[in-house]
Amino acid sequence: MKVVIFFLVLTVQVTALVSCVGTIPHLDEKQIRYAQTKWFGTSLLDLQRGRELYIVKCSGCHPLYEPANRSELQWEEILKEMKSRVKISEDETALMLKYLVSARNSSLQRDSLNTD
Amino acid sequence: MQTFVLFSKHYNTTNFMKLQQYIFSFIVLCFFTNSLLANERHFSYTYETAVLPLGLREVEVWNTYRSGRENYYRRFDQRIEYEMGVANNLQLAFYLNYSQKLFQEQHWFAKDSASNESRESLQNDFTLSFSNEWKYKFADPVADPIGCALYGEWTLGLNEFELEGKFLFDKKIESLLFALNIVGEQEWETEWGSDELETTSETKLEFDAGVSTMLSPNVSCGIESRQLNVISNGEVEHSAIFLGPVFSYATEQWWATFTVLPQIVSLKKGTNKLDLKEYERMQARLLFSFHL
Repeated sequence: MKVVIFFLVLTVQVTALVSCVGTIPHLDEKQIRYAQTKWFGTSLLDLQRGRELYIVKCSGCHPLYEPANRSELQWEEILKEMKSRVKISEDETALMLKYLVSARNSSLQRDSLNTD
Repeated sequence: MQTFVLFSKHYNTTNFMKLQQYIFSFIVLCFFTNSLLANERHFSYTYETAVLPLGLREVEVWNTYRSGRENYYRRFDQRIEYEMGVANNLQLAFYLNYSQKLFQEQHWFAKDSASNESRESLQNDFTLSFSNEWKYKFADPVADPIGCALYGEWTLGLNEFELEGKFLFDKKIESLLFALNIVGEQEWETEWGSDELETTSETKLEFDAGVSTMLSPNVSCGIESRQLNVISNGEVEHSAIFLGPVFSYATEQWWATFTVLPQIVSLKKGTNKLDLKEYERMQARLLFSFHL
């Protein structure tokens, strides 16, 4: 009986984990316009690379923050500070900033549509 | 039957001091390297899927105290870990393991042709070993639906060899962090038997799970549990559950996590409420790590 209860708790926990989705969004062609108006010449590939870099470089030391949870200015400050502490090049920092600011904007737009 | 209490040492003080010097040198060597950065842990026993980014390095100091098996038993384990990110999502680590235990042992002597007498002594046993760990992360607990990583470790000591594999899962939802590990371990140990050296093997299966809530960006607390099993000839020989609180604190410079795990129940039928033959009544672990 005890074993059954223990594995039941485990199963509930695993199910809860699997049922939740990731909160670091992928961006698509629709959302690239914002990035292109802000940084001329930005491609979808740049934003995908920025997302990948954000996950690989930042999640090793702390849990990731959702892009919408920080303002554009805060992301700039955070990346500036982390660049000197973690081995992130100037180009990589720029790609990460493009992704984070675009993803933030995309989340805010989605939230405002849901509110309307 | 007469009982005496003796105290014996299997090592001398000079060797012990040398060992301390080696460990201290190892820590200093590790700390005075560039790019040391701490990767936060929120549980002391349960692993999370995070791996250090390429080129970053970290030192962790493990302290585990165990107490309360049958008769008298105290054990103190220390591990010094040096971790490094060797590729994207791949981490390598080396450990220097030091373990000392104090336990009661009974010896039988032939008193005369008709009777035996026993002596009980406190044995002070000391072991040193080396471990190497590889960890590969497949998915992230925030970016993906579920964090997932594979972990492998081997340990070599003077009279033991261990292989350990783990499936690691975790998920962060808002301020809650869930983690689950499925662990398999095979151990070979050489000991002096009745009249010759014997190598015995042991298979262990373990489920570690934890849930923790972030009270602030620096502080988290939660519950951690371990379900331990020793398997012999296809049958579960020992099985027990440990459950207790975990606290963790992290700053930009360092982090620490502390867990106390009392044994809650033995799952093996026919044994007492607690299995104190194979497992301890209580374990506690403190991990800390920092960068300069």
